[in-house]
Amino acid sequence: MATGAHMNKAWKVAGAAFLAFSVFVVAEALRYGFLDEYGPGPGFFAVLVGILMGIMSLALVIKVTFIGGPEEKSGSVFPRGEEASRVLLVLGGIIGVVFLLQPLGFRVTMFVFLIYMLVSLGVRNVWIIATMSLGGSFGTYHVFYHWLKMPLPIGYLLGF
Amino acid sequence: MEAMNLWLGGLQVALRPENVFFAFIGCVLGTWIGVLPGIGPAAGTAILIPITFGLDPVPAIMMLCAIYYGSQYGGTITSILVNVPGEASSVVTCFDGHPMAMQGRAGTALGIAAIGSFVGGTIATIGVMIVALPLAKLALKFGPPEIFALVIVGFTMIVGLTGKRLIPALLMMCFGLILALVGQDPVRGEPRFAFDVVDLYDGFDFVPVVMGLFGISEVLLNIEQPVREVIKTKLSSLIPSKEEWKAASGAIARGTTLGFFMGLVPGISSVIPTFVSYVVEKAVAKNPERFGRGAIEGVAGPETANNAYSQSAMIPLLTLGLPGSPTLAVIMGAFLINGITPGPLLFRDRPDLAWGLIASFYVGNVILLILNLPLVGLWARLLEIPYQYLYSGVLLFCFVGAYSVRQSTFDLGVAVLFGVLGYIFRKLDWPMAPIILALILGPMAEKALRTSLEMSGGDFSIFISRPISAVLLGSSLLILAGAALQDHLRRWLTRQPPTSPKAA
Repeated sequence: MATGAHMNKAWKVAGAAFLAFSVFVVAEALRYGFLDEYGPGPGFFAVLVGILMGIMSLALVIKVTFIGGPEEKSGSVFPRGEEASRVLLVLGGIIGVVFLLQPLGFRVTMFVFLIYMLVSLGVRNVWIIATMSLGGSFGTYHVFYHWLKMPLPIGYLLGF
Repeated sequence: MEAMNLWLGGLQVALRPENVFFAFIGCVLGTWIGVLPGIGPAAGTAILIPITFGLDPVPAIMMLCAIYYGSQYGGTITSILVNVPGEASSVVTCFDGHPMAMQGRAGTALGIAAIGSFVGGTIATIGVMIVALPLAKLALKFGPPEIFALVIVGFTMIVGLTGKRLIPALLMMCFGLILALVGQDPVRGEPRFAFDVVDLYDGFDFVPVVMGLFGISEVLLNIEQPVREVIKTKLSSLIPSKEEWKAASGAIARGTTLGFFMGLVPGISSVIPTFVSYVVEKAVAKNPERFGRGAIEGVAGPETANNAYSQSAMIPLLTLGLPGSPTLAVIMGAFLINGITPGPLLFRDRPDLAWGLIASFYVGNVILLILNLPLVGLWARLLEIPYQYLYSGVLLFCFVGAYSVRQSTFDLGVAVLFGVLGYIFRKLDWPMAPIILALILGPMAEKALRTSLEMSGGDFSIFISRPISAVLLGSSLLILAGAALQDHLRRWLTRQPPTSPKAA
């Protein structure tokens, strides 16, 4: 299948998703009130934006279906195989940080995350991994917490 | 005279040791961002916002602006040395800069680029000084209808930049406006689109959204590729010869003029002045066949135009609150985080900051010249940093930035969510700058629209019955029409005459 067809399909799916989203926005905004006794209500602007978004989504789907989509690019739209594994590996680490930052604190979470990232990306030199992860976690914490006075989570579990 | 006095006051602010220090740090970081291929200036500026959180607003903003114009020069280094532009506006520099490097004249190319950037940036700053005050005074006369029309101009400027991606850009703008609507209604105070989630009552903060859209998504996109080889380079003398000076001086003068005036025009990206300058240099050259083979004018003109543009593009941002590029949209968000609203009131309420910032452009230009001439070898060595380390560092900054604004892990989740969305939008080749601009200007647009309609009793003609808002809305239509038709126009201009059967 031609690559342009992949992109066209992706644009159509995205256009349809935005169309559904715009319907939801308009329906939700109408609940807040389009007009009230003072004039435009809290839902007024949202309804207008939702309608514009709906029109644009529809225009996109129609254009891609009947007139033509974006120009062809090499490769498929989203990665597969090894490329996709690399993205998912990094994404998994990022999501892990979201859940671990509060209980483990910034220093421990970042120390673990940086080791995970460097190893996942193929770094094998133990000294580089140790220096980068220690500097990136404890060093960054010191700079932001003590020098720039920016509060970062200390952690419930270790409490330091 | 008034502007000169105000500027002298600003210079005193800019020359305070702590401000010079942070402008210096900003120039270093900006040049670094520009040097690294794969991290654009918008993403680079976004991930460095957290550094300014602990600072006073004046040095914080000076540092961010220094990052912005530092990145403009940094992109040049990779264009010349390795034929990889650090950012879009440095593409043209590759045409003759890299051939010069191949001939052993890399130092000369970098030297003339640094000098041209300095001259262009400095002269454009004088222009900023002259134009900023009258424009800010005019903007002070704006009421809600004019403000609404002005915001619409801002939206169309960013959307118009996208050219063929007009519909996706408008969709992204609407998406950003919806995000801006989350939280309390600015007029009545009612919660909207919060769905009883307490963290959403204050809406989406700008920083986690930017960290996700520009920082995390950039890493996800780059990580797809296998690890890239590091780049090693060699440098020669930085000082151009007498003949080269002679050839480059005219190009620098023309580049300054072009870059400055194009920075004032809404909807022109930093790429256009560089291309126009290149075309002009080729057109006025006695031997145009030298271009593409290492002509020094092909480096001096576009580089000068680029820096003159980047200084004068600050005028619409500072005086009207309208960012003309994605990087400036990020900088505007950083202004707001630091409690400063760019626009005409900035000159009235915070003249120290407004004029200090304009004066700091001079300081920044001197710092950049010092940084870029003797230290260019050091910058070239930055290209040798393995990308695995770089990506880890970018993510680390994204986490710090997303968390720090409200000390909230919810915001961290928001950054990840927008990182994934940004990754998808990048894969679809949809522009993301309209989301950021709409998120920043959305509340202002809504308030101005509703107040205008309350003033007129619901009559939309208020926007066309007032001359300034009518002109502004008319300009928006022209920008949109221009963006929609530019592809057809280009095709029409370059079309081949049909071959008649007889001729065949």
